[in-house]
Amino acid sequence: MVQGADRQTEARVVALRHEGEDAAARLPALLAEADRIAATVAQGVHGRRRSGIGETFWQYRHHRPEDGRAAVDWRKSAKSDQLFVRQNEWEAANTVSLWRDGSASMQFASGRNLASKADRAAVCLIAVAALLTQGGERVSVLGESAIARTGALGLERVSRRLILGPGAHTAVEAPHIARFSRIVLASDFLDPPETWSARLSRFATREAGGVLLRIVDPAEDDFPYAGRTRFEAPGSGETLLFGRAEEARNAYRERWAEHGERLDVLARQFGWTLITHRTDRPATSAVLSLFKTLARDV
Amino acid sequence: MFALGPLSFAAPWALAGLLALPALWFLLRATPPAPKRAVFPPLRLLLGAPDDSETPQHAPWWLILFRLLIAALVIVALARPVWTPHAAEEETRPVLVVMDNGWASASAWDAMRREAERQISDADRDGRPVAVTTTAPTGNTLPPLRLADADAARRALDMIAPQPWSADRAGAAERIAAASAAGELDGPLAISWLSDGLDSRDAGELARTLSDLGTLRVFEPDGGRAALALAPPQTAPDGIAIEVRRAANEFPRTAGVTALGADGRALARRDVQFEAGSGIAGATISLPLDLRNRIASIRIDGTASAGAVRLLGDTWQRPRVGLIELTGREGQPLLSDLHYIQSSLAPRAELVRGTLDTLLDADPAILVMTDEARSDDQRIADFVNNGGVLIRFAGPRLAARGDAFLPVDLRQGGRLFGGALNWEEPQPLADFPASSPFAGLPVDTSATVDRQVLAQPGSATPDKVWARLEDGTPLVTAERRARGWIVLFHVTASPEWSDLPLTGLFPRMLQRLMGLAQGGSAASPATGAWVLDRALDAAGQLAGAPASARPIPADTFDTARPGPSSPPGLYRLGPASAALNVVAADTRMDALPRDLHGAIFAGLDGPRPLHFTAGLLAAALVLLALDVAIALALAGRLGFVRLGGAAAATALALALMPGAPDAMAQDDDDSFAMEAALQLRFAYVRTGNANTDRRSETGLSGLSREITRRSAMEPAGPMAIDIDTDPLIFFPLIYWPVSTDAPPLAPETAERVSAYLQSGGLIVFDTQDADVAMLRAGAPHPGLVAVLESIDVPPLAQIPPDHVLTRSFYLLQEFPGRFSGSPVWVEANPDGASRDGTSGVIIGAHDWAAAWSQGAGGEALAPVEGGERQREMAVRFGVNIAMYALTGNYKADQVHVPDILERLGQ
Repeated sequence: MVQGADRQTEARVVALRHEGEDAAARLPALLAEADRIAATVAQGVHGRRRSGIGETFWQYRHHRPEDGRAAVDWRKSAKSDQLFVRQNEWEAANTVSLWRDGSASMQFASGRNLASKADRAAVCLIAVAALLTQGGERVSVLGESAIARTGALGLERVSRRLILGPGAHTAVEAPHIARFSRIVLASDFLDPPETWSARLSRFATREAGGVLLRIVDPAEDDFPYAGRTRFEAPGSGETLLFGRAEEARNAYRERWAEHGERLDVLARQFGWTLITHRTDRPATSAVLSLFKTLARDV
Repeated sequence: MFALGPLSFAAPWALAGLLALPALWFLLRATPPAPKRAVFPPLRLLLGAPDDSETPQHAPWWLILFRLLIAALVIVALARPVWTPHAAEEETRPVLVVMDNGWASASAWDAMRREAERQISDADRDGRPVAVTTTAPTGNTLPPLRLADADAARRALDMIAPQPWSADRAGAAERIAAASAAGELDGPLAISWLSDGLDSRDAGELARTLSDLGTLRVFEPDGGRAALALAPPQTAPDGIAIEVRRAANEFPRTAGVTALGADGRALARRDVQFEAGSGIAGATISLPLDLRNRIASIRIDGTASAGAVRLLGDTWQRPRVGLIELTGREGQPLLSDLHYIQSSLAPRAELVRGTLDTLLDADPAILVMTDEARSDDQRIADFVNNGGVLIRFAGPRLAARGDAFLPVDLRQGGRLFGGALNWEEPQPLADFPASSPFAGLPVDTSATVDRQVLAQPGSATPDKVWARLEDGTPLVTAERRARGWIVLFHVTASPEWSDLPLTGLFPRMLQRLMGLAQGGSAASPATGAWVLDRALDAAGQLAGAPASARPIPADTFDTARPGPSSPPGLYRLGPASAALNVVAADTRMDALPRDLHGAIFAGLDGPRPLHFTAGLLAAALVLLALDVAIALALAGRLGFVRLGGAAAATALALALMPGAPDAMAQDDDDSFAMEAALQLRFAYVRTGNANTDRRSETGLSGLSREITRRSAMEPAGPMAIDIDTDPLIFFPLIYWPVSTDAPPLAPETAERVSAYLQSGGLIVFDTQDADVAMLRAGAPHPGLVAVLESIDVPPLAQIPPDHVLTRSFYLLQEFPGRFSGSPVWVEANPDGASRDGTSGVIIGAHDWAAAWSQGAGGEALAPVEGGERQREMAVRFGVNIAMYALTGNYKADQVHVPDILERLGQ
């Protein structure tokens, strides 16, 4: 942005900086909310420790000649006549890739008090990322960095990318992922199911699977519009005028339900789990089911 | 002009707009309401969704009709429709309007004016010339009478007002005849005489003059608005007899008559009843003499006319009593002598308070001189010699030394009954001697006298003694001096010396003394001229004297009639006042005779034309607003409207309630007063310096806590006050930290502070700088000088060893705070003040607040120079100050001398 100052006009710089500041100002709030949700969920899911991986534990075994002198744990060995080696358990960390749809439709929020779908998706994903990093898992953001990270710093970077990142569709159309990766895709899945079928098949070639987190605004679900209404699609500028919007309600609801069913079928086809979350519900429920699903898998 | 029977249109061409309505119909049909916008991401799913009414929408037919109605309303309104039921006859002659505007017209003036306006408007509509003239003289030359256009006539009508004297119809007839002769009123005229309905000697003359010029229509006010006249009242054995007159007609009528005092209070009210066919109604207002004497005017209720008001002059007045007052001595009002005298006399006499100079100018019949206001001015002697009555009250000064204005010689020192060091019982009053003016008053045995001045034995001969105590000592003595009287009460007029002023006997005694005043009024002087003091206007209200008023020579006053140069009202000549009223004893009230030459009679208040334009436009506006609501409802946006409507309604309601914030502010004031008054609280003056204020707060709360712990006093937490705005009267003690840069007080603030001190408050001024005070090398503290400069602070002295402050709770001889050793000042001689011998100020530099400061847990918040013992002493001094503020000089009372002596002895 500083380099941009050379080329761009002053006004553009100021506008960009404000935009950045605004976006960054949202960050702590979202992080705090995600933290809070993660804490609730961590307390709620006790079974996780049973099957959890990466939990540090160690053992002593007898010293073998090939271990060398340096490997001897003298503290333990001094208590008896035998030599012991202190050994850490092999820890294997799984990588979970997260992706938040950044398309224009995700910026929609039907009410002033409702979070936009993108924000709600980011919150859920950050909360899951926090839980995963607490458990020692590594987390990456699909399409933004290939390196999976863990720990507090890793969470911080992942969070930034989840909130501020573009969430481009190219990331899911040509995913850079390792085989057998676990994936969480958060989107409103408004693109036709055929499109998503094509995308998921690419993941299938890498034998990767995971969870589809479908974020739904209550207005999309309920279609509360009535009277003469001009509907506009965000981003594309397409409009559609209805003389009496309530006339279209039943037809729309049918189509909406059908769309959901097709998504569900699609997910099951590819071995994914579809979690639908309305933005007027607390994010905690979504995070809980999301995390349960992940915990079952990994 | 286009007329449909009684309905006519001033701008009929506007009605052509109605032809455009069908075009409007098609226009409205084609315009669908604007759609609502909604962002909707799953738009794809909506594509091809069924929309039964997706064809361009028509507005519903009823909405179109509704809008056409609005348009029709506007068009019809623009055509300016008028409904004139009486516009049947066509009149083509010029119009002459003659208005009676004497006093009798005032009550019906609104109706007469409306009728005149209607006549002018009618003439205006047809473009006929108009002339307006009046019958009552105004004192100025009237504008020339000529036919002119309606606007000029309206301007002339605006200048016309009823006058508080009689109409001069002969003069008007002369003027009209002259104008006619000069050719200003040519041709046959349509003449309207808007009369007051009363006959007069010259009514026939005017009618003849007018009927010569054209057809004459005479308008009369209806019976309810016809003039009433209040004839001069007569004294009756038990009050006053009043008589109301009217022009007799066949309807009964009731009128209320109210007698008012000089202050405007109603003293009595009676209804008078006119029988059908009768022109006179009478009633008697029964009033005790003293109330009757206070009547200043009598009015007929609900009739705004000079003839319905009767002003009463001196003959009805009460004696004027002057209370001699010292300048600048505003003590506690409830303890001052004058308060008791004033309360006793106010119902029976006209009281004047002031210094001797102003009082003698007011020429009172009686002078009251309290001990405080004692004076041996030669003018008082002159006053008494000229027939004045001097009523005196004793007091400490008189006890110390007698003077010339005494009915008896006094012994020096007076006499004290009761009390700890006396063994005489307080004395009640004996029955009054038969020769005394008080004879017959029942003696109140509960009234006892504790102190009095004593007459020298021998000088108080029985004829001089008007009241005695039970043991025979004179209580009230009096002596005739030349033409006047000197009366001496041997006690104070306040309850200080006796219970007498608290009893009902006291006012009755004083009222008996009012009888000594010479008559009610001085006899009217025969020379000089009466000058109008306050004039009576046509509506019967007192007003300033008009420019046309001239003095009336005294010898012709009795025969004077109200007119431009001698308007009715109150006249003064020297001290005497007299009233000149509109209605004289011989004023007759007869209806206009029906056989007036050439007259056709009519009533006022004919049907008036109705103008619809404003109403129609208003209705169209309302419907338009309704249309907006309908349009929004059709577009499905009424939810938003409801919300916005609520906000708008709230805003409107707030705008319509200008009193609401005030009321809340009032509540706030009350809450401050309630908080301050419901519990005992100390206060500190907010200085604006946060540290000082916090220290004052913690200091006073610490002191309050210590006082609660140590004594029976339980003060609540201290309050901070703004010395400029908050009321001070609630606080017994105000702590005032003064910094070196304290600003001088505003004059109003200084007045408030002085009043607070005068009413018994205590202010502790603390400069908080005893440690650096010596650096000023004797120069006064600049901040303290600035603050005290405008406050009336009496001479100060260091606290003497026997001051009450040294023993009001603890026995103390030093008064430390955070510092010690510098002097603490109090009033040098508080005995002279009205505060019962307590000092109103304590001035020091010891920073007491710091030494008193305590945290919430009782821990000391500030260091003290001399350690814990000095802190304890500071707290003890604080307790003493609080006790001093609450109990005053209680501990100075000799009652405690034995106890204190005993303790000192130990």
